[in-house]
Amino acid sequence: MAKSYPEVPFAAIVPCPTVENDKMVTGNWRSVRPVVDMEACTSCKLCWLLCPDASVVYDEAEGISFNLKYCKGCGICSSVCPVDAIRDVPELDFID
Amino acid sequence: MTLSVEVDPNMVEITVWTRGVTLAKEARDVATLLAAAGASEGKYTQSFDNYVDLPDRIGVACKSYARISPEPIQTFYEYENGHHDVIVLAEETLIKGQRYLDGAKPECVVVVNSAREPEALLRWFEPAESLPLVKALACIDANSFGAGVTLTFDGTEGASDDTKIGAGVGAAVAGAAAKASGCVKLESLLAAADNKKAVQEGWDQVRVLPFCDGKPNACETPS
Repeated sequence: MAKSYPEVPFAAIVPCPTVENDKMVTGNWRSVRPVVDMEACTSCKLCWLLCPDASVVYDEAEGISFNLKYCKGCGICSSVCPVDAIRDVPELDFID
Repeated sequence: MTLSVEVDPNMVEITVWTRGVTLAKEARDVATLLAAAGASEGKYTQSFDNYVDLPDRIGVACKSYARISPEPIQTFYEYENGHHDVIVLAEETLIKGQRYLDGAKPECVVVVNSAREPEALLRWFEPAESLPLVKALACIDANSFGAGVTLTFDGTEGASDDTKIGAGVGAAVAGAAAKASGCVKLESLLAAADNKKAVQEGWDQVRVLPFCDGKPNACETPS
């Protein structure tokens, strides 16, 4: 009788992490930090959609914010913002 | 791991921190220039990049190294510097959130490519308990002297380099590092670099903040 193994899902696809990946913190790769002007922001969520690291957080009450633990400062959010509500501010302008 | 400080007690270890891809070439230039300048003074040198950091990721903190010794270097197999005499940060935000002072030798010199004043950068020193090891913090606004070559994919594996050595920001940073640390002479650095004006301006305009017991300007040197 052939030895049986636990069933591996098709193409070894596993559930994706639904929260943070603590083994891959990339916040200190950043040299510029995105800052959103809430008055100008229309909550179109283009930045939320296009952020390659899912570091843009959207909340209906709070609006757009950034998860700076993982944001690499790539600048895609500020580039795609249709109303220029996101600025790239030098990281050393912030103490934290 | 063997201890390079025991094998090569007089070897100066220079560690250049930089950002992957976007500034990797400039950090490699700083290490290459300082080693080439040291070699032209008759010293024994090595210079190489760190690949453990996976420097092909844009923006990742990564390192390049140079070693300069008056005697033949016996440290062959260590591919990372563990005992820094000179720490160069090729981009100013590296001062925040990286443990670049780990392994620093006493009386080490930190050189930062920044338009800001050295005093403004003190609060971010990492780790803060290593601050007593620092002899001086030097700042140089190299981005204003050495513009031009900042992003290149040429020669990233070291086989060839069409963009010349020391044509961009790295030339001014190397000039500043040489003056702040005294590891090589200005003349030999000028001979090695492509952009000699940037080396000279880096040498002339570096702002050095001396330290004593971990505090800036705490004790006066007798004249």
